[in-house]
Amino acid sequence: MNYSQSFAISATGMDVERLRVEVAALNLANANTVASADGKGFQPLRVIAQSALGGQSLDGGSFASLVGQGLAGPSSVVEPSGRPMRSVLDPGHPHADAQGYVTYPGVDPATEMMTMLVASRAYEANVVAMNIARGMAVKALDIGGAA
Amino acid sequence: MTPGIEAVTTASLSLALDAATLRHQVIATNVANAGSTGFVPRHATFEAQVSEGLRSAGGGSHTATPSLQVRIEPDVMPDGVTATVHVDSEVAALAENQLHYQALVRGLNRHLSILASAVSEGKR
Repeated sequence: MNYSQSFAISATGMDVERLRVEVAALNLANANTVASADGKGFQPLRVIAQSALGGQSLDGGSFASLVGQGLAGPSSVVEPSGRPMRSVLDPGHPHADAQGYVTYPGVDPATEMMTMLVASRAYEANVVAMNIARGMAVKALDIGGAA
Repeated sequence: MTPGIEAVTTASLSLALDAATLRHQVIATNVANAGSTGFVPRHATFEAQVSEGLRSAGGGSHTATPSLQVRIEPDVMPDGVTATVHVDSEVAALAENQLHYQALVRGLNRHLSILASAVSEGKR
């Protein structure tokens, strides 16, 4: 059993989910940093995961070669989420504009919490897949042993 | 025990073990890509070809070893819409595949113990 490829597939999945949690934590950590009105400052980020596999059907050999090239797992891009900035009326603030508004990055705590929750569950599913691959590899060592 | 049956048993069991490994990789790919945009989940089909290969091997000449043609098909609904990844059913399929793998290993062990019994002339 070529278990290293199964491990590699699950590892790429875990990589992407860990990146999601890191980006969500980054967004939450910078949620209350002051941004200037012209858009300078922290931009909320999001992770876009993409798969290199298309929608076509494959035979066993071409799937195995795709797995061998590392194309079976997802690849991820971190890009700005493009949410509008949040304006808070705080005239006494040193960075307030002429109308007394301070701009903050448009981080939505509920969205970030949901992202972290979903990523954590997906991470657990990848751990289960990797543990099952490990169990199969250990079982394969039993071949030829005591029946 | 004829050499033909012996070859068919070990060959078909090892083919089925290879197929279970490949199915595990397909399901692990589905789980790893659960959050990817535009990903189409797949499933591997091979049992039908294995059983047909066994039937032709058992009915005809003993030299015919079962062959394995794995097809990895995208999950598409009858109306043409591609399915989404359901992590719970994928993990359930992983567990079922693992059980299948263990059963195959046990079968191979049983077969090898029969051979060992023949080698030791029935003695322990």
